[in-house]
Amino acid sequence: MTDDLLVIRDLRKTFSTPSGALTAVSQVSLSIKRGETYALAGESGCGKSTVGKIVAALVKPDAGSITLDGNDLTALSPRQLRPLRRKVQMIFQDPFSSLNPRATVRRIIEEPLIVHGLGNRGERRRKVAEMMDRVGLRPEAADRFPHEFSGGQRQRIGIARALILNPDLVVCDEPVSALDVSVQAQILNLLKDLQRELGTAYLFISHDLSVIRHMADRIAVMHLGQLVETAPRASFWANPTHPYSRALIAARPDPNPRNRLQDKPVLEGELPSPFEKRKGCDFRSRCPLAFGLCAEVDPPLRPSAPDHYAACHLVDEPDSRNHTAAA
Amino acid sequence: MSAVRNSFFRRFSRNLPAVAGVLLILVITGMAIAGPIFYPAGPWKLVGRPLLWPGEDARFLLGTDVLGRDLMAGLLHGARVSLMIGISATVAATLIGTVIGAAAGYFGGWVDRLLMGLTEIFQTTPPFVLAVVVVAAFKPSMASIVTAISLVSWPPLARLVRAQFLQLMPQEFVLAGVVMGMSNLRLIVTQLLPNALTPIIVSSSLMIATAILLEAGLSFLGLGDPNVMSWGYIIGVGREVLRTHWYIITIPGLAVLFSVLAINLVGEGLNDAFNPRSRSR
Repeated sequence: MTDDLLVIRDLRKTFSTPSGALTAVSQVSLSIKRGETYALAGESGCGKSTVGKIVAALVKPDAGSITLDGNDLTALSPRQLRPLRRKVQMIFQDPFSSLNPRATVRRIIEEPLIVHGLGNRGERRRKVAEMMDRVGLRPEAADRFPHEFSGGQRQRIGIARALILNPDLVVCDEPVSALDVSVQAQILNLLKDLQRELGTAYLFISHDLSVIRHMADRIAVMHLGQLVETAPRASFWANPTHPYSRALIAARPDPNPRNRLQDKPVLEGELPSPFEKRKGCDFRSRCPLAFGLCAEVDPPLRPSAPDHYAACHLVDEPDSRNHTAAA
Repeated sequence: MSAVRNSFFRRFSRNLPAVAGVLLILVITGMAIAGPIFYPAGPWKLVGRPLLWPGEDARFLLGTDVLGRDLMAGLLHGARVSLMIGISATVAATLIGTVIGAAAGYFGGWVDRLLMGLTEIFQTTPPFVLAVVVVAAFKPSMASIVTAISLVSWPPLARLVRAQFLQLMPQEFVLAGVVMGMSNLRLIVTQLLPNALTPIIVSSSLMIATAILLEAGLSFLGLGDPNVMSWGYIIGVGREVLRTHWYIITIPGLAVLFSVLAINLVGEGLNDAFNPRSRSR
């Protein structure tokens, strides 16, 4: 337990909107170890980005605690939080809006050092050049402006900015989903290489399970603001337990043309409204295995294998594994 | 940067009306500089027979006014007053508007409601009436006129800056600034303001024209600084003889018209050069 870098307990966040209170995140608990990649998967609107923003202290949760290295971030005032911010950085989705269009690349990458008063001018310049080299940018390009770069290069600038403070944790919010497929792999490999060199942990948010399979040491699947399954990578891919996880995996494009999408289970039914207070399992309206109990009781996360948890009533039944596997 | 600057200047210089505006402004600035050089005695001196038509006496190219003051001297010295008041009132209004708009947009909540309420109070009062009241409340002087004009000119700018901030704040580079631990002031000064600068520059440049008009109006009503002769003052004095000696108000009137036109042309040119439709940002 001592190697837990970040521990989240019972996180809840509700947004008030014109159409009522929207519960974006509820009862989310997870812990991220030093140097690992923890992936949050789920379809758009499931609250995974909100969890990322709460971890990066961009959004204040309504309830729950976030403990980073023993410090409870939710108990701190914005001023007290500021020095701790260098430990958690963020890589954003959109490489076009994530860089200040009026600043040079040097300025953008150097800014975190300036904000935290690290090094003098010469040291900072050296560090920027070193970081640019590390993320695969030519240091001579430091005096150019973001619009002179391609999407993939801009994402590299964003990565350099996030890693120059040598943070313990980087929240990667869909870091490659805005990029061309050919560039995606380069960026993902860059992230992996940097993690190996620097020992940074990633909270990796993505809707793309192929990307997650490539990156994650541990996977959590979110559905309508709640975690429905968390598992280490081997156990998750060998034995996905929650019917939603299975549906997501099945919906993943398969390069083999003989495995057509038509033959696979595709999710049908309506997603319940996130505005209402709901009884029972949120997934039951789309679940092929739903039965009476699902409408009555919201299933808690239960162990299905060592370190592997799923929020489904079918998990605990001894014969359920065979039953769901057949479906 | 140089590439950006170059393309900006290229776009601006291809805009003929804007270039004409720049030339006109240079002429008016030249007039303002020439005033004390050619007429060191000042515009108030009674130099000849009153109500001389332009060209009637070779010494007074533009003629004389009701009291026999040289209209050319008045025109050149007036350029000085108009430009000075226009620019200083605009600088003051831009500062007020930017600070209030930035605070309202950045902090939101009750700060926003309070500041926007204040802005609306100013906006619902007719600007010229408010300016008259402010100048009349103090003694008419350069300082009180600049104060009055800036006081009535900042609200649209505050709204503009606020709108820019609201549009910029959700952008990811601003969030990145928060995540890296920037203070509010640093975030406003280094991330938000530089990206809101273009529309601020454009609308400030247009504000100079409005300020010149306001000053002319105040002087026309006799609320100008009695120590300086502005175009508005000449028009105000000349109105009594409008039907017989129309040139007295026409000459400074044309001066006001051309300066306002020139500034508007330059402002529009800046706007087009900063935001060419072809370039999507």
